Amino acid sequence: MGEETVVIRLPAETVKRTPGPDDTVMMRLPETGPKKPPAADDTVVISKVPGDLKPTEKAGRKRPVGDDTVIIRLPGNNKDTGRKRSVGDDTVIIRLPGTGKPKTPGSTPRKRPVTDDTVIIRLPQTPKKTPVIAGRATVDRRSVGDETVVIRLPSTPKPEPKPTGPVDLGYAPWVLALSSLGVVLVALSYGGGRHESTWAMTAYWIGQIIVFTPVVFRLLSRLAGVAESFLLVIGLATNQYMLKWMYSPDQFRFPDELQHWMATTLITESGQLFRPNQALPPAVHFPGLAEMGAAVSGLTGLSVTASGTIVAGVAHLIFVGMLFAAVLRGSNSPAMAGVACVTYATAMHYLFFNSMFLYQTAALPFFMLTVWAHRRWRTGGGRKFVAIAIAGIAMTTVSHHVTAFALVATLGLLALTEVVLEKPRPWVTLALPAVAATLVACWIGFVAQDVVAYLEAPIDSLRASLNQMFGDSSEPATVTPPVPVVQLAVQGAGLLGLLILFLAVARDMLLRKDRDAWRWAALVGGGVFFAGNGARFLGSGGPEIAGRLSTFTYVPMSIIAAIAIVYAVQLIPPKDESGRRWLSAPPPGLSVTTGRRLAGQVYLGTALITVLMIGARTGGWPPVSALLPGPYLPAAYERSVDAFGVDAAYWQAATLPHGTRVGGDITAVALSSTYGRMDPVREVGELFYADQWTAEQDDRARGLGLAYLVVDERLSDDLPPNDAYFQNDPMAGRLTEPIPASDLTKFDRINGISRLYDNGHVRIYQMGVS
Amino acid sequence: MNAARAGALAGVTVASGAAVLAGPLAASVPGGLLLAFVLPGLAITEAMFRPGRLDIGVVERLVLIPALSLAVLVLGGLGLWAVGGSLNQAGWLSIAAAVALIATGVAVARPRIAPAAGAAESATRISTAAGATPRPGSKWRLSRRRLFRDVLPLTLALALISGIGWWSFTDSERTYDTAVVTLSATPPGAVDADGNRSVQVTATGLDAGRGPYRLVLSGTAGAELSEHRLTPDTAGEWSGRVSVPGTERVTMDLFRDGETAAFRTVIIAAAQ
Repeated sequence: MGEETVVIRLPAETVKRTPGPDDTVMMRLPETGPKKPPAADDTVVISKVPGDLKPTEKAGRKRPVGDDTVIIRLPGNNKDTGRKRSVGDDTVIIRLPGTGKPKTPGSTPRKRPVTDDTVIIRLPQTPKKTPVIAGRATVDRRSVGDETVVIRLPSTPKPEPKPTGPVDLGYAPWVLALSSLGVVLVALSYGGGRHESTWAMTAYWIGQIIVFTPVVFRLLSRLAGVAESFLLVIGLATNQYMLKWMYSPDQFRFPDELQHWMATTLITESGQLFRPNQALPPAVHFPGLAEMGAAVSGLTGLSVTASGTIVAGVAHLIFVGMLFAAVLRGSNSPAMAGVACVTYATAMHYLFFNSMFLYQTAALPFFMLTVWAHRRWRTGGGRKFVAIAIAGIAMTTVSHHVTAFALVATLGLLALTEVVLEKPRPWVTLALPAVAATLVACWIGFVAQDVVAYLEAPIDSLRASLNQMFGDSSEPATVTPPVPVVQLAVQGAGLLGLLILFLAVARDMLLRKDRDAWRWAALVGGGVFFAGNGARFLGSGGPEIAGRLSTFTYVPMSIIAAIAIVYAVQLIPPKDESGRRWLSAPPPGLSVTTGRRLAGQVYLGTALITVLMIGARTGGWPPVSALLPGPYLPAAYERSVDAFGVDAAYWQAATLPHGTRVGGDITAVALSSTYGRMDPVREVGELFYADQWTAEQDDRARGLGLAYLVVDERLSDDLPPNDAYFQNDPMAGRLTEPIPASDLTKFDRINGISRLYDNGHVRIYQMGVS
Repeated sequence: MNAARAGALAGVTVASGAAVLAGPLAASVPGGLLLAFVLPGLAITEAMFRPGRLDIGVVERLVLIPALSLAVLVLGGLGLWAVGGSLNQAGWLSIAAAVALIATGVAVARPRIAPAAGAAESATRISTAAGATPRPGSKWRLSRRRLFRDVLPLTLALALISGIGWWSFTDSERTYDTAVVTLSATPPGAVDADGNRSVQVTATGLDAGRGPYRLVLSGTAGAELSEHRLTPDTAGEWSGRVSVPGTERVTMDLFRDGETAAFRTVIIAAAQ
């Protein structure tokens, strides 16, 4: 193999023009091996502001961090040659001429004449005129006439990497310490919420921003190496998981978490898998999470609740770590990987549904593991990565149905884009999606057959919503409660920002005739993200469907956003010589901005991602009305689980035969079916809303096989924040006032009904004849 | 993997297993967590990716270890269940420890069965994303600068999170800890020869200072059938069997001392 050469070519007219996006230096690094990733990784365009045109700025104004600093990745060079490097990071930061005093004595740009646009980059310990030293990049030749700098890179084969120093964590520890102060603030706001303090909500929002924004700012500065970026990302994920945990630290309160608590408890009690779980029957055949919880509980001796909390936290961190690793592999840029992760942290369900003790939380890390392993396999990693990918597929398949479907679709998309874009067609790439599809089909066909019926319900609901919107359905339309304008504005601004980034990257890739299969797959996935957001408007279940879909589609969208932000893809391109703006050819390679443009992008990017985070908190879970924990609210999920409801559930477990059919509001059935070990009956809304108990209600109760009814008299105190007291609530979206108290006490006046339990708030009625 | 490293890994596995089986919670928790999240994945990673080769980065290795450990538990659990095993403490311990020890053995044996060193080296790809693996010789030293830049802020962050986590837990538990006073009855049995039914009545959460409590039974027409004085035990609980007429709808009201309004009520419907 010959030497690898980098050519930096400066535009001839830079001296006579004001600085602009065209003042660039391009470095193209030739491929070093047969399987090298596409040129996108190897090409850097350096924006350069001619120092001689800006004397006042140079002399008088303090430049922002990163001013005129260029980050160049030198393949295979492990020498500590830059101003700032991390272990495992091959990024070299070179300060361009005119930026003042270099911070590292070893990195010294030579002064140049005012009229000379040639840049000479002298790397540390590089003698001026010495032969090429293996493993070190050297400035080889300067040609004033064509304003070109040639940097000769070491010839292959590359030498053994030199021993690296200790891990350079950069500013990550201090940034995380600051972020932890935000955790403290949010925790105090939760405490304030429990005691109904007025300052709590303000503290909550300030805390959320302090937790999140400093990390984003540091990552966007693009000065962090791999170790620092990874620590920032994992530290942020840990802090955010703490926020989720501290909302309800002493017990699970969200119904789905209680259902998986039940599934795990069944394994710890029986030592067997696939035991019926009436709280969530389909979960029986996806035992991944429950096995993890039961194993940790069995091995440590901790309670199922504590074990579940640990398992969910570790799974959440693995998912984030895998996302980081996958993007790092794809981009070779720790900044890209970090920005993609923090952007994904603004997904609607990231902080709750994707980190709760739910079976999706257990499946997501293996979803990303498989994608990462697929990437490693396709870039020459070898068969061991196929083995890891198959293990990931198996884990996803036995952990969560929807994630398994999403994995098949994702692998299919990755394979298809590769087959379409690459020649000769790499048909072998279709093997993994085929394996995934086969495994998932076999699992559902032979083990989890009930999941088909389970998934029919939301599909039917979606179909009904579409019918109502576009068809001639006579069904009464549900009324979605109006969303506050501020909330809409924040979410809309975030989505609009993402759309602009998406379109900019799409334009850039099209005009560049990009052939990178993974970027195209990410772009298609980003398109699906926006299409999925349309589901928000499909009836009362629309936001939930859109949110759940975005768990998967937000991964490629985050990558696209990171590409746009880190590589400064032109949002509004300059006109070309023909006066075309939107069809003008983008600059070759991928640009790395410097100077004030970089600073501006850091501030703007931080603001955009922070707005996305605020939008996710307001539009995600818990709803705005229950962002803080606090006293009981009717049918408000976590906010409805208190000592009274739990005591009633424990009474059922101790007194009634397990599996007895018990109905009630959302909270009552969640508690009865888990702590109470009962068979939940969810469709009891009509029995509550009736002001009289007639034969119709009697028939309804008999039809449901209802043996007991749990009635919380506090339902009459307030409207439910999610606009429904019951699952499949016949009045969902149409409630204007709380259920009248008399409707709840009518059961006391019915001769055939016994009231067997009373704790002051919750009553349990035995239906029918004693 | 060299013998010393393998020995250490195997030793930690055995010690963790012993802590799980015999240790108190203070020992079983770290031992169990190591077996659940670290040891099987670490051993498999060592077996798959030999140290010194740069085909996997530090980040990837760090994430793979817990991921593979969890995969071992889940897939191993399915396997154990499929062959009729029980997923109890011994079962989970067997899966985790066995995989960790076997993979450690494979990691030790692998250099001997691997292709020639030259062939292996030529297949090695040095990736910039993976980064360089620190050599055994490069040690992490606690300099004053590092103390200030790394250790101090990370310790501060850890202390803040731990402290506020503990406070948050106790605050939530304290807020949740409400005294619940209940009155309940078991589902009534069949009517006996005298036309009565026996019902087990229980009152919990009673504050002895608010007693004595009265349980008043009244029939369909509201006439008082009987009155019982309840003396709660030290746990604030009272339980007794009450006989009620099978043909009447009986209301049982619980009164605090000196109060005329019942504060808890259960109703037994008439038998039909």
